[in-house]
Amino acid sequence: MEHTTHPNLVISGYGSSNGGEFHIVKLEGKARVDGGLTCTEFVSHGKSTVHGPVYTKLAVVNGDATINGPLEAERLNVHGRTTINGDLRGERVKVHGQVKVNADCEAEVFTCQGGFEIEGLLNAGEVDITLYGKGRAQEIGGASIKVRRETNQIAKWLRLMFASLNGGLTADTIEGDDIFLEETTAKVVRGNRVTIGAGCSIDLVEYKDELILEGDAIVRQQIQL
Amino acid sequence: MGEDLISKKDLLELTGISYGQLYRWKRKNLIPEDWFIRKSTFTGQETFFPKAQILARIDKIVNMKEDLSLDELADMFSPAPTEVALTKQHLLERNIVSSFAVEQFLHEQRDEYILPFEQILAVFMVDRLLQSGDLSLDEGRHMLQTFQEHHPKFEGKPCDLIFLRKLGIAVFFMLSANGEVRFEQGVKVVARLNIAQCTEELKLKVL
Repeated sequence: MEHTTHPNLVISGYGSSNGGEFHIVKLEGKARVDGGLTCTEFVSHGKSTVHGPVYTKLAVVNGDATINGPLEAERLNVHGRTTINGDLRGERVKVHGQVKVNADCEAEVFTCQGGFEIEGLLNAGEVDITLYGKGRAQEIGGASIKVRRETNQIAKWLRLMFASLNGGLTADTIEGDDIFLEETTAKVVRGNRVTIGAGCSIDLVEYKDELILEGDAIVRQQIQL
Repeated sequence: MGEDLISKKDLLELTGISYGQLYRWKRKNLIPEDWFIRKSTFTGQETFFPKAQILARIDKIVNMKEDLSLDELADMFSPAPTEVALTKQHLLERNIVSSFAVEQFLHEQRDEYILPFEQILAVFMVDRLLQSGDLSLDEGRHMLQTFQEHHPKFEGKPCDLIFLRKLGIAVFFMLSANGEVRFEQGVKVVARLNIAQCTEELKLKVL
C-alpha cells in the first residue's frame, strides 16, 4: 500500500466521517466513523466510535474507543478503555486500563495492567497480566502466562472505592508452557511448569515438570503427566 | 463424527511439541480453526483434533520450518491461490501434470503464457483422476469447466468437488468442505476431492 498517497483524517471536537483508506487517523474529542478504516496510524483521544473494521500498523487509544468490528494492529497501546466487537489481532498489545474483546484475541505479546474481558480465546506467546480489577477470558493459551495481582496503594484504593473491581481473573482453561497465577479462578490449568499463587482456586491442574503451590492457593485435583 | 480424534494432551505427548508452539502455529494460521474441536470430558473442557490431519500437518511443519518461515508455511497451507509464475514448459519440467493433460487442456494457451494458479490447480486435479483411470477425457473437460466456473464463487472458503456416476452418466458438483451428502441407490461416488488439500499438494510441488 502506498501510504504517502493517502490523506490524513483528523477530527477535532465533534464530528464524523465515513471511513476509508488513510495515512494517519486522529480522532480527538467526540468522533464517530461510520465505516471501516485502513490506515498506518490510528490515534484516538477522547471518545470515539468506529462502526466497521480497523486495519492499522499502530493503534493508540487514550480515553474511550469502541470498534464495532475486528481490529488488526501490529501494535496496540491502550490508556483508558477500548471495546472491540470482533477479533483483536496484533503483534504487541499493551493495555493500561481496560480492554474488552467480544471474540478472540491474538498477539505475540499481550501485556495488561488493569482489567480485561475476552469472550473467546486469549492466544499470545507471552501473556503478562497485572490485575488492578477483574479479568475474564474463556480460554488462555500461550508459551508463557503470568498473572499477578497488583498490591500497591493505588490498586488497593481503587478496589476500596469500586467493589466491582474485586474478583481477580476467571477463565475456563489456561494452557501454557510456563504458568504463574495469582488471584485466579479456573476450571483447568495445563502446563509444564506451573505455579499457583495466592488467592487461586483451581479445580484441576495437569502439569508435566513441576507444580508449586504458594500461600492460600486451592487446587482440588492435581495430576502429573 | 466417524473420524479418529486425538486430544491436545496426547497430541503434545506424541509429537513432542509444546503448548507455546501449538498456540503460535494457530496464531499463524498453520492449523485451521475448524480442526479445534471442543468437547466436555470428565476432566472438564478438552480440545480434540482430527488425528490423521493434525499429525500430517505437524509433521510437515516440523520438517519444513528449517527451510521456510512460518509466514511462508502459512501461505502454503492456506487454501488461497499462491503467487507463482509457471508456463506450460515449467509444468512439464517439474512433472506437475502429464504432457497428455497439457496437450489436451492447455493447447489454447501460448507457450510463454504464465498460467494462473487456479488453472494449474484445475488441470492438476483432472490429470490425477485421468491417470488413475477414473475419468474419461470428455468427462475431464466437464470437470475442468465445472471447477473453473464455480470455484471462484466460494471466495477462498474450503470446498470439495464431487464426481459421481449413475448409469454411466457423469455428474460434477461442488459444495462447502466436509458437508455431508447422501445419494440414492445406484449412484457411485467416483471421487471426492478436497480442494484445500489439492491446493496444498500442488503448492508443495510448485514452491
